Amino acid sequence: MKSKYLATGAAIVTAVGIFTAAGHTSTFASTGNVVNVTFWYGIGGQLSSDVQTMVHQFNATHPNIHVTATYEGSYSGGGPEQQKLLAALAAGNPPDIAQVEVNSMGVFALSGKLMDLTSFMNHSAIDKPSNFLNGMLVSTEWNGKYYGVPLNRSVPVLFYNKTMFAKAGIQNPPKTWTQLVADAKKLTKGSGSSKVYGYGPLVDWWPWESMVWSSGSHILSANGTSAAFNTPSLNHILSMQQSLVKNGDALVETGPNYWNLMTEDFIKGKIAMDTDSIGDAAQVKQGVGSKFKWGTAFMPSDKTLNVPPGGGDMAIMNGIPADQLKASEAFIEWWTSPKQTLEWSKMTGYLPVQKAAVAEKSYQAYLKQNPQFKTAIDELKYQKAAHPSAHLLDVLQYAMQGLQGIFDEGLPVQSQMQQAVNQANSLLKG
Amino acid sequence: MLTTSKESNKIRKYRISQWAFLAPAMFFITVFIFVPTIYVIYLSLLNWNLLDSQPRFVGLSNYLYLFQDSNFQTALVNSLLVSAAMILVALPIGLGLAVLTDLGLRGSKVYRTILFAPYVIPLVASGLIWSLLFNGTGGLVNQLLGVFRISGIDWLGSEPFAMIAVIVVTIWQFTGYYMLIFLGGLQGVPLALKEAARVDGASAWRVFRYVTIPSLTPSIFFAVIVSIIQSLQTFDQVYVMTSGGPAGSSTTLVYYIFEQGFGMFNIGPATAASVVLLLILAILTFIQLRISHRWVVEE
Repeated sequence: MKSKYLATGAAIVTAVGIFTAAGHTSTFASTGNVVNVTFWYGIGGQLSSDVQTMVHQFNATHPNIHVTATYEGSYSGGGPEQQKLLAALAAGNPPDIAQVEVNSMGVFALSGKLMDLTSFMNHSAIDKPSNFLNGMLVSTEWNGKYYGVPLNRSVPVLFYNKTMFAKAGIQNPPKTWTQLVADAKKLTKGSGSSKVYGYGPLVDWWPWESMVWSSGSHILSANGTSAAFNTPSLNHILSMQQSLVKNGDALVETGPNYWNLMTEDFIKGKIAMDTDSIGDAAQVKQGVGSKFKWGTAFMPSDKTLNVPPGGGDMAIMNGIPADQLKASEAFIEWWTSPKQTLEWSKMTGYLPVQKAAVAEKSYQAYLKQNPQFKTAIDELKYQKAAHPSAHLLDVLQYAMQGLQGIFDEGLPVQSQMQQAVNQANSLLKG
Repeated sequence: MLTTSKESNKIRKYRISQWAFLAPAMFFITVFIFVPTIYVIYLSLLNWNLLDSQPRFVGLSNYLYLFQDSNFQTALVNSLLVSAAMILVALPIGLGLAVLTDLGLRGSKVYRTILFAPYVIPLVASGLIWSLLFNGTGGLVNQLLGVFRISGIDWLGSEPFAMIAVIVVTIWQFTGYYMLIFLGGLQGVPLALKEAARVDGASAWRVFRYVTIPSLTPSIFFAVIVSIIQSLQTFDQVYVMTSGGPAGSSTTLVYYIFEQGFGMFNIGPATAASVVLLLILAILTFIQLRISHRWVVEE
């Protein structure tokens, strides 16, 4: 009996040994001539194959490095890529490079899990901070240090239907929220299924950040321990838009696909204005075709024009081996160099990130043909990052719920924002 | 004396083999259930985002936070609403369908398969299908309602319709499963009892009420427990159809845990809510086990 147990035990031990050994060999095999780098990203569909195209090009031209890029689900706040990154970091087994959503960058950077890239960037011929377009690094700089390099970047802009504006006798796109509301009323036409609404609010915290700053308010107090956005001036901007909805001058899209639905409303000519990502301009261009003329303008602003960054940055995880770090830096430099950032931009509709890229003749010619993108390039310098706080994502989530209450359900603006402030405060102080 | 020592030897051997058989299961349950449970309880006492190197111990304040958070209250109420809907709507429909398909009419096997089919579809897929059906502009549900001159319900984007839509899908998804449980129960009802009742002149209804139902109580008991557990775990439908919105009105307990944990990186409140869910499930199961003997007829 005993010998049987022993035999089984020995067999198990051997099996475990073999597995462990196998694990080791596969880890060590990579450190031969070729350095393997893992890269997690979170943009799907066509964008995912665009990423793969870029990575393939890099691998083909860099025989000593092999980057394995994997799509991990959406990188947006709370998306699967972020969940997996969170879990991988907590487990101490992260990838070498990860795409981090710009608004979540602060949370990750402050945690100390991301590599401080300041010295690398200062010494890099390509990724010197001064090489990037003004405002591009707001999302990656925290407490005077850089934790990421811009990857796929966008900003919110005002999309407007030029044909409808001309018909309504409006010369220029609105510059302030007050003007936007007045224009929306003039632009609303017809009834029933052929009704055209002047405006379609994007019920999301992203344009809301811009509204907060535009009203002269702040998202958080200076020391970051309380939410500060429930101000009469912000609520005025929100109330004006809410009354557009209540009076039938604006069309609100709800449910999980609210964003896509709103973009489609603009393409179909159901709404004359919306605030949308410049990243959606390619889709709008393709969808609209020659049905009507459209343009983009700066986000409306009452006091100060500031827009939040959108998209993602590339970050290197802290504590990866020196070889991997070097290879990762090489990959990031390659991706952000003017040639590649331009190619990436034309492929996807995201903005090029470097000054040299925008200055290139081919891109200037492209901007002439597609003036909609020029607005975004010009608006970049007004980018502003929200207050660095470990609880920023919560604050934005609560604000978004408040916005849903205001726009989807028509609840009082002041009490909705107050509720969001209360919810945020209970976390910020805790 | 000799015999007893031999016997105790036997018993000892028996004990050892008992433990040997239990060991693999105990090992996995420990690693995948007990240890994580204890870890979750530990996490629920921290203010942490899984990232910071220094989690802060905050005692029970995450629990306090939960009970002040209106989203958590909504989530709790919604989860209980789903449970109530399952017990009061899905279970009776499931029972009715089971009785009908048990009549042995022509084609009942086909119906049985069709009715069970929703349960086999992944909830994410049925959530997507129903999102299209519930679409506020041009969805099939609103077009059908249009026939009755009801129009313009924004199913997934307004209160309380978003939660109603989630409940409808949940009922649709699980009714077939309960039908199958009851069908199994019905086929186990002793024919002799039914015949005896009939011979005694009982009407079909009285046979059903006084013979079939009591024999079904173990199945009903099982279905009630399972349905409560399933509905308190409602997540996929919400994730796909409403993302808990608008304004948090269709958030369920598990969705709340997910949102706090992975949307907002609030591991403390997320794990505290998990502990609360565990307690609720434990208490409900305990109560049911205690009171089951009063109405479940065991053979």
